[in-house]
Formats: sequence, structure tokens, C-alpha cells
Amino acid sequence: MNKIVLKNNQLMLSEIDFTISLCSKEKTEFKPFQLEIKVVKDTSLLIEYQNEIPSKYDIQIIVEPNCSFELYEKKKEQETKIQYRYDISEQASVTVHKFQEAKKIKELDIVYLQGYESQIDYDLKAISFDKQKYDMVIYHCQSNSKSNISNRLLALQAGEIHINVTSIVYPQMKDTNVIQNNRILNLNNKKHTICPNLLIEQNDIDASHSAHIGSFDPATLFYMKSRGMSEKEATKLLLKGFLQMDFIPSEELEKIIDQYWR
Amino acid sequence: MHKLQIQNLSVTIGEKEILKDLNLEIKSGEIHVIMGPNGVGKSTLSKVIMGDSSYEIKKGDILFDEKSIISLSTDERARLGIYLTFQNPMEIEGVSNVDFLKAAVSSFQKVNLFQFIKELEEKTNILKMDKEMLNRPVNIGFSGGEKKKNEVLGMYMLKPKVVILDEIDSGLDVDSLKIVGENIMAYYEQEKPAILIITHYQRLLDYIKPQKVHILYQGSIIKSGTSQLVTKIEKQGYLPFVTSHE
Repeated sequence: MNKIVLKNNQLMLSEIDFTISLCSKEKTEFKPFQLEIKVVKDTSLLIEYQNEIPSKYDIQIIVEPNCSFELYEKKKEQETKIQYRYDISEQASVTVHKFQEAKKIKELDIVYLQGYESQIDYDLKAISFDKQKYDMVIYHCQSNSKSNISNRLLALQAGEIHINVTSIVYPQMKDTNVIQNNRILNLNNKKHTICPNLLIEQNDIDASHSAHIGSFDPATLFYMKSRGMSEKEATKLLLKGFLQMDFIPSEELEKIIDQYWR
Repeated sequence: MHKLQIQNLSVTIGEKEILKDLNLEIKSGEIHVIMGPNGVGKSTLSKVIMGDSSYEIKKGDILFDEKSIISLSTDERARLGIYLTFQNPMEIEGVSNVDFLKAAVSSFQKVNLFQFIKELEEKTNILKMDKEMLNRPVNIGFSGGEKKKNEVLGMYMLKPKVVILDEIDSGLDVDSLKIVGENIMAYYEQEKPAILIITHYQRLLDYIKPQKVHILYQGSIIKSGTSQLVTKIEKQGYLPFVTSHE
């Protein structure tokens, strides 16, 4: 897998092959650090953020026609502002897997499904201890484009989460597929918001959205406890299920949960 | 020898009284059936035995081996050896069946992973379940029959002393009913637990032979008898029993 490390407003490491080209611009007084990632063949990339100071990034991902791109991202305990822009061409697909255990985050993701049969599958899992704001806008600019957005966030301690997802389908964009699933697991009784917006100007499409903010389901806990599990064991297992991602090893996830959930 | 006793139990949810002065005693090696019209408190009884905090016990007691369990939490009751199969087993997103069962067994004893997997695979085969179901999230995408077989799999793995079957026969086709019924009976022959069956129909009792049958009506047991009582209910319905009670 290709890998880049971003640290303190800089590109610290890039281990990439011919499938990806990178172009970066240093941070200036007026603009954040900018990075352009161009995908020319089927490939995958891991982005790790290792900030020690509050940082800001502007990242553009361009995926050429017929390419399949898997993006993995890991962030940990840092104050970060990020803007992602995805330009996805004809018959290209992007799969995003993000795992964040972080304090303050402000993130904007703008997705342009520019090509016929272009597609994005977006899967975010995050543990929040402080204010986190996620804005996403998905533009379906071509027919047969697909977006499947899943945001699952866990609020602990002082975590406050605000999610805004807007999917836009323009007129004449037939057979598009728009899915949004947003869920906040509220374990700190703070106020959280989810705004799932579908702005659709075409009849012939499939669209669905869900938004759920709440704690553990008492009926599920009762079922688990009826199998002998204590409340602590049951909730730990549910948290693991809520946060699990293929690229986060099970042992690592268990450690993270043990660290924060007592 | 283990014994579950329900003594003069009255239970409410909100202002509504669901169980009234209910008495029941089941010992190891006994199979009891509770039948009754809809909404008379059959499922409530199973949940109250298991410690569902939605219900309030107004009067009476539940004893396991002569000791009151009403102050125990649900998991403590489960660890004593009481097992409830749910009428509608819960679906748990993100948690695989194998992880769920491993966590459940771990709460009873230290798990020998090799033995655990071996036993799990063996019981999965006996229940004619697809092994792939072990890696799928608990009950998600399972058919009605698969969910009920999964409940029986849990019973095999946890080896309870008291088994409460809340409408285990609902949602089962004839083949699945046979598999579920025969496996419960096989477990009974092997471990001799106390079994309490809650059902509407005789069909499950073609495989599981009860010693005692009770009719529950308006929160109380209004008649008890042998398995012949089931045949009478099938023929006449509940009306004659209810009318004579009123």
C-alpha cells in the first residue's frame, strides 16, 4: 500500500509508486498546506496525520477514468482542519476508510462525481473528545453515479459532534444512487446534531438517508446480559462492533476502547 | 438437582398489572409448558424470570435453588444457569456470532479457544446451520428459522440448568421445527435441565414431551394438567377454561 505522512503542516513522508502522482504547495500566510493526489491506476493509499501543533490541510484527490482507488486515513489526538476535494472520473470508484480518535476536528469533504458510473463509498468511524464538525457535499454531476456515505461517531467526555451531509443530484442525472447513513453514539449526554440533506432534481433515482443519535439500545443490552455478559463486557463488545474497520487490527481497537471506556 | 420457584408473583408495567399471584415450580429433568391466549403475560413471565428491568415486581419472589434471585441482575441470573431463548432474537450490528458466543462463554469460564471452536463447529453441524453464519453479525440477515437455531446454539454452548423457550416455534418451517425440537430434546436427554416452554401450538410438543401443562390467563395460572391438556386446548380452544374460571 502507498503511504504518506502529514505532520505539522508538512509532507513528512511519501512512499508511493507509479500509480499515484503527488504535487504539494507549502503553507503560506494566506493558504494552508496544499496537496494534490492524482490516481492513474488501480491503487490504495494510507494517509497518516502525526500533528503536534494545530494544523490545516487542503487535499485534492483526482481519480482518472476506470481507476479504482482505496483511501485509508488515520488521525490521533490533534487539532486539525482539513478540506478534501474528490474529483472522480468516468467509471472510476473511490472507497474511503477513515478512523479518527481525536479532539478538535473540522473537516470539509467535497465530492464531485464527474463521470458516468463514477462512485464513492465513504466510511468514517471516529471517537470524539472535543468539538468535531464534519461537512460533506456530494455532487452527482453525471448519470449512473453512486454515493454511499456512512458516518459513525462515538461521543465521549467533552465530545460534541455536528454532521452535515448534503447530496445533490442535478436534473437529467438518471439512475443515480444516493445513500446516507449517519449515526452518533451518545455516551456523554452532550448536544449533537446531524443534518442529512438530499437535494434532488431528478425523479428516476434511488435515494435513502438515515440519521440516528442515541445511546445503547436497552433491549440489545438485555439480550447480551441474558447470555451472561456483564454490562461492561456487553458495552465493550458493542463499541468494538460500532467502531470496527478492516484496516484497524482487532487488538488495537480493543486497546483504544479499554483506554477510553471504563 | 436444581429448582426454580415462582411464589405469589405480581408484576406491573407502568400502571398495568400483568402477572397476578403467579405460582410455579420447576425442577431439573422436568418439562413444563405454559399456554394461553395472546396478551395474558406469557412472555412477560419469561422476561421477569430473566430480570428485565422494564417490569416492576410488586409482590412475591423468584427462587433458584431456594435462594431469591429478584435482586440479581440479568447477567448474574444467566451465570446461575438460567437461559432464555427470545421470541424475537436481537440483531447486533458489527458483532460477529462467534465473538458474541465467545464473550458469552467467557463470562462463565475461561475459554479454551481450540475446544470452543471445535464444539461450536460440531453444534453448528448438528443444527444444520451454515458455518458462514458464525462470522456474520449476530442475527443480521438471518431467516426466522436461522435465528431460532442460533438461540439453540447458544443454549448448547452455555449449558444452562434452566431453559426458558419463549415461542421458539414461531417463524419456523416444518424442517426447522424438527431440527430445533430434536436438538432441545437431545440437550434435555444429555443435561437434564428444567425446561419451561411458552407456546401457542402443539406442533413443538410432537418433539418435546412435557410432563406438565399450564394455562395462563389474566396473569395467573388457571389450570394445570398433563400433556392431554394440550390436546383439549387444540380441540376446544381456551374458551371453556376461561369461562369456567370466570
